Amino acid sequence: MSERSAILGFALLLIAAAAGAFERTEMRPPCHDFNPLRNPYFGDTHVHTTFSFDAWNQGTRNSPADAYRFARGEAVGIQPYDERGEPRRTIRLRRPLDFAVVTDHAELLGETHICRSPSAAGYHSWMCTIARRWPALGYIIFNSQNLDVAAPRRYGLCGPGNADCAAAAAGPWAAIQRAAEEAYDRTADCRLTTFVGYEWSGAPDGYMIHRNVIFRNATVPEMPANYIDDRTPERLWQRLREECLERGNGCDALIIPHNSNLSGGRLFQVEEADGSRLSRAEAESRARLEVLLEVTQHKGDSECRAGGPSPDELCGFEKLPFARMRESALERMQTEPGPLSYAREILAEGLRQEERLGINPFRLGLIGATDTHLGTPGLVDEDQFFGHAAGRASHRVEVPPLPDDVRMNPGGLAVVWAEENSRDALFEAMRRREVYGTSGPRMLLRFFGGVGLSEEMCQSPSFVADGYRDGVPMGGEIGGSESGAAPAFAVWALRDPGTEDFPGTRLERVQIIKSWLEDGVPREQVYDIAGAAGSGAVDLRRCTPQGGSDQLCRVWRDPDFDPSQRALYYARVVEVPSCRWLAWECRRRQVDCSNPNLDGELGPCCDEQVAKTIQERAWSSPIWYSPR
Amino acid sequence: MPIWWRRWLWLTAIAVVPVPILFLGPGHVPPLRLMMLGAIAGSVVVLEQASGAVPLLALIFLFQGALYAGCAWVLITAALIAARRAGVAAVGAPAALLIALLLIAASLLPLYRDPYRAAASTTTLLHLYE
Repeated sequence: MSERSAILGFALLLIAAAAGAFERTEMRPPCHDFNPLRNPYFGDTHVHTTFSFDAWNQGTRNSPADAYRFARGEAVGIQPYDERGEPRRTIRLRRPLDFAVVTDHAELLGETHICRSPSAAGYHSWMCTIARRWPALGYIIFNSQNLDVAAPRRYGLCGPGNADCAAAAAGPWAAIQRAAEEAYDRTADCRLTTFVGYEWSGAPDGYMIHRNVIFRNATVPEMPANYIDDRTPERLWQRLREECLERGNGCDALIIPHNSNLSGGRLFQVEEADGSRLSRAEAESRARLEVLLEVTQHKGDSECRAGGPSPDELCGFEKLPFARMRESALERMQTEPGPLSYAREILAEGLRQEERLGINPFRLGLIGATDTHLGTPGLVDEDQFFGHAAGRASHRVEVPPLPDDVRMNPGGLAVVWAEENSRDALFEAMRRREVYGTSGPRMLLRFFGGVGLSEEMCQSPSFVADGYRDGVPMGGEIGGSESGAAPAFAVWALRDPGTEDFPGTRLERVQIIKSWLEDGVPREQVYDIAGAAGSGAVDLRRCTPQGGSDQLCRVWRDPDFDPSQRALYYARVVEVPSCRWLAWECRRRQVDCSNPNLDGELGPCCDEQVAKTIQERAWSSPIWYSPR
Repeated sequence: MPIWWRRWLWLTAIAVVPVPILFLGPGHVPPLRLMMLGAIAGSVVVLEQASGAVPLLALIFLFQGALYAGCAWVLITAALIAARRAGVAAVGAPAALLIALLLIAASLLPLYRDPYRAAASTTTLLHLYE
């Protein structure tokens, strides 16, 4: 860096610091789009590439660098590949992302590198040979031994003391960091922000306790923690404290747990098998590190339980009918997801724990993500679903009639309200939970809460400034007022405009979901506050949604407010129905249900039990109310 | 003589005739292929002390392979008994013809669908065991 550019950079840094918006931990100029009232940035925090065993095993060749190219809007190839190694399909995003995080599985990073690199010492080991020659067999053999058991162990290919795999993992980990750095736009244009990250992927007895770890800047631990060596979330937190947070070198991290729907309640455990309860120290560790929850992704929705305690017909959305993936193949084996499998139950449990411990361990903001295993972040459009690439439908050598199990979906996006599109700004926004999740579309959602919010906010041209001045944004906390007056909540939602070729869908309604404790027992209530159910429909033959609103806004005051009850509120914005990916696929293949010779795998196209429409949606992070 | 042919017919059946993969499909492969996959998974259990779903996986493959092989034995035996009762004196020629036809058909036609292959799942006998 020249002296002149260093001085310029420092001057810009001072200007941004003067804005006082967030702490800057890296040398870079502020972004041109800096906005103290914050902009929405769309991204994907859950992306797997060829460095993840399950992705490589299903033929994914995209590297972290390819994934970031894709996020920027460039075209990438995906499997199957021809004999010359050319991809048979090329895809690109309709709209680039603002940020992305490659989160490859930390567990088999070394093994995957060895098995896919002909020059690696263990490449010809029989375990690698199994993985390459019989991929579907290798998938089960590696995953079940290394991830899906309470006491995971590495195979012999890792050498004495697993040293070979540990050494081999260093290469991909360095490549992940390098790709993130090279793709990060450090100019004032701030087109794409990337973060270094990984996934800690434990699944004792098949119940997922998976967590994505995201680092604030380029200062990261020497190696990622993994479930085989560090088998509990507590060990993960400890490693992060020791190797990052308490190092005093600028390293900072947060954790995003996900797939609570497949966790059997173990992702947010409050009681151990021996009956011991969550301690205050554990609650503090959680509250410090685990600030967000991925509420939707390829493997289903985790917002609320279908047929839960409150009447909420929208809870049936993208639900998996089993408690863990290994139950997916046989209906008779399937069990109901256990308690604390859904965000609403977890958030309510947080209120209960706060009463007991004085700290809420589950104060979680909500985001969406894809969990793509194709290395294609943000590929969420229903008409462009190419499968999860880590489940039962493999595209390794041929394209199956349907891209995936009909219970899967393209996943969602994370939206972050931040001053600018830089690592520090986005990271701090995630930490303060000023984020929301969508099931894919890019609708805008503002959500403020506070006793002092004006009833006229929706008519005010300064809606956002008023919200910040008189209340708190999503993710914040409001305390009880002296008068005991009910807080107001201001919600503004704008439909996803889409693109010229593919316009977005209009909004059906806005709801507020309230969860509170009544004599220590969690309760919940859903309020429709703007728009109306059934205000739109979709023509399935043409896949054209009809009806709905371009935007909805309302300032709402809780009619059932009790100032003595701990509570939380979040907003849900629902689009009018549109075509689900299955409808697009069946339409593309011109499936004729009267044809007796219809390919059996296209059967779901003609099965009325399988959803063909979807009501896409967004979930705000909650605003918590604590009594005085 | 019939016992000799019974053995050959049975070996051909378990190596050639496609049967549905139970629980671990979808697909259809010969029982021998199922036993081979079971043997690979079983070897990992024995040599690598694999836990989790691997022992169960090995058992499911081996069990269904053995089940199909047993059924093939019973069916072939029944067919030969029926042929003897029907007064067919020599089964050698028809049995040899049947074996030859099965082998030719399986070598030329993509009768199999094996989701465990690294290459295309639909394939012929010649490529199945590659």
